[in-house]
Amino acid sequence: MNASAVVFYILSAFILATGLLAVTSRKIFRTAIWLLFSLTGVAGLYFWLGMQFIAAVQVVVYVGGIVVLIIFSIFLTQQSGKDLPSPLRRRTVFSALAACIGFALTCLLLSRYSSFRVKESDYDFAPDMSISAIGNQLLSTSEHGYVLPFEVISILLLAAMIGCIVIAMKSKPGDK
Amino acid sequence: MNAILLSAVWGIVMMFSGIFTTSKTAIRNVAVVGLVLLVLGNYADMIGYHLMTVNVHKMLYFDTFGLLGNLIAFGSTLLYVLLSGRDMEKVGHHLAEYFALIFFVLCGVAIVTTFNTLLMLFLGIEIISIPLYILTGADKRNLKSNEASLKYFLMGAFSTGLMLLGIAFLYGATQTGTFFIDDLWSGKTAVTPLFMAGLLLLLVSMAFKVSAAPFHFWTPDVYDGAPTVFTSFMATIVKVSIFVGFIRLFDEAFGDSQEKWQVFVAIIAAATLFIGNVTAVFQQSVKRMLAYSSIAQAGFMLLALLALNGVAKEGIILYAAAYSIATIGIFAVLIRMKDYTFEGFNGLARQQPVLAATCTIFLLSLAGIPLTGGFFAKYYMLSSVVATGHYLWLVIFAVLCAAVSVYYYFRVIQAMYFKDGDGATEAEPGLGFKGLLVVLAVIVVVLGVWPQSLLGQLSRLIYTW
Amino acid sequence: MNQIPLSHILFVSTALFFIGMYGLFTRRNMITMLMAVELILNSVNINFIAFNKYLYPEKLEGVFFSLFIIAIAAAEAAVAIAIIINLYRNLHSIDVEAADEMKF
Repeated sequence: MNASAVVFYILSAFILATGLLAVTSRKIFRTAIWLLFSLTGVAGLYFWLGMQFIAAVQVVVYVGGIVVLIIFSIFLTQQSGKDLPSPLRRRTVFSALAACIGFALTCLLLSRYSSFRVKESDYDFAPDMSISAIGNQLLSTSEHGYVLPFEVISILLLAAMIGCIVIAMKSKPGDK
Repeated sequence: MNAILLSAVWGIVMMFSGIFTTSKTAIRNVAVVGLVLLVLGNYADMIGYHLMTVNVHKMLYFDTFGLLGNLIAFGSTLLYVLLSGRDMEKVGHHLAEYFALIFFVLCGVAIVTTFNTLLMLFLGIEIISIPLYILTGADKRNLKSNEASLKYFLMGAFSTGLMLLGIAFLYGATQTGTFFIDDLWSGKTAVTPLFMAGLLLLLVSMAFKVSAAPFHFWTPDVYDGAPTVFTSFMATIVKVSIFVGFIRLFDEAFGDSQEKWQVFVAIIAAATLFIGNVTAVFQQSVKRMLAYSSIAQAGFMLLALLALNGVAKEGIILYAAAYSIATIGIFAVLIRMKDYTFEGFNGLARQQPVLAATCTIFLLSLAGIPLTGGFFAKYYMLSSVVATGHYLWLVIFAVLCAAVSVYYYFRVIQAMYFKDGDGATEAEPGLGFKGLLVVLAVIVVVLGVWPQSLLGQLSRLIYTW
Repeated sequence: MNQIPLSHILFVSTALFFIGMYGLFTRRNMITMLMAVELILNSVNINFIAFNKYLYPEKLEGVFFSLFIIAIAAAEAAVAIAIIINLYRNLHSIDVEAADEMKF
């Protein structure tokens, strides 16, 4: 057990504990904050894996974008001091049971990777993880370029933007 | 590629047309021009003329099956807009944006029917879904519509999560570390439990998207809550194109491990047929009945997924055409009705003989009565399963379910012709509307009388050019 | 990180997935359900990144896939919040249970 392993287990415990609190906490504002912690923990996990770019995107998009959006919408739509109604006991039990069974089955499935470790030699031909390398491949039109999905997702974002405006725009009084 | 380019560009054109003109007729005409261009562009793609050469590096693969699926989706959208475009104005004030969203959905359709990597499948499904959440909630003052869109969103997001987990598993199971679907063939990838789990998760999530039982529970509420104009779009064009993608995925990626997943598809198909048909019998509203009937029809289309042979692929194209056109026609009439219950149709034949007669043809086609497109479509589905030599019980079961479906389709016909009442439309439908309905009915009958010659002509046209 | 086998990272992401699923099933408030969906998408992202790092270290395919997932998650969240705000305007409460116009 070296320092790196210890960091991993602490990070995992942090992600899971805050994630669990995010789905069980009764105060909606706290829920959002727990989610924020959990997502930051995931960003930390990416740093630990050596994926700096993804970690940065995670922080910028999730922590800086989505969670802020969620907190805004909580302020806009609820009294954040009030407790959420507690879920039905029966539903809780069944959901917990289903989640546990699913978790156990999936773990069984994934346990074949238990002996899989990163080999030192792999680092020799690991690709350039710098942001410029990722950017180049993302926008390259060559064999492994990702410019086509990039363009496609720009259409998707445009559609989402139009959609949000159509739905959220206040209609004028007197409209149907 | 033409279709993707044109639909994306025309979505933007539609967006701007809302700024430059306030005339609703003009906006509608721009949309119709766009759809005609789309149909022609897709046809040009089929005969080998491309607007620009784009090297897609195997991320998309334009084969006849996918392009034919596109052609049917675009053609039926054109008919749909011609028939029901006027009714979209009643939903809300953003007509140009609705059309823009419809064009973006069509862009997603063009990707889903021609994808060659799991990444493009995922992106295509999302481009279809996100505008649909919005269109479902387009009737902003109507609580039912809001709720339907939220329910659709939650279900859609959950099934996206399942699909992504499935793709992640498959990514772990391949030896190549890519998302190309031909890398999933057993020659390149061992069929491990992890691989099977990924496959089943993809099956479940796609079953969610095409509303197959037992993952259909969102469908009736969403279809019922959405504005009827957009229900028509969702239940026909979108559903059918996702089916084309579904079949493409399982044919190209998992075709050789077929016997391992066939039994799951058989169970899903049987459950879908049973639940869709039996629940449809008990509905009081024609709109809800059509929602369940669309589930039942999905059960028939799943038979093609089960068989996955040449007959099945030919048949799904025919089924897509017959089902889309008939359902669009019925919905176009339903939108004009004052009352959506079965009683609302009472005595329609006396008031609107043309509407009642065309509606009857569409319903007969959906029920699969001979001399209509629906009969041959169902026949192709069943014979494709027979050709596999297994699952004969499913064929018999499907025939029984089709017999049940006759009951609820005939209930509408009976209300129209044999019951007294003042089944009335909201306004007197125009001559153009009636004329188009007649054209649709003629297409349905032609599909039913000469399906082979039509399909043969089509494929000859494609292959000889 | 050489000491940690791949399966441990995958266990963490699976646990996060099912935590999100639990939240989606038990929560009745729409914003909290949206949060559960975000947890699910995040867990899948961890899967992609971990597989990429351990199994295919010479490629970047999984990284790109997770980039696209993040972008789509952002778009979905925006759409969901637009829908929620519109629903709130009509309903003044965003419990799923309170919205029971429709029959089940």
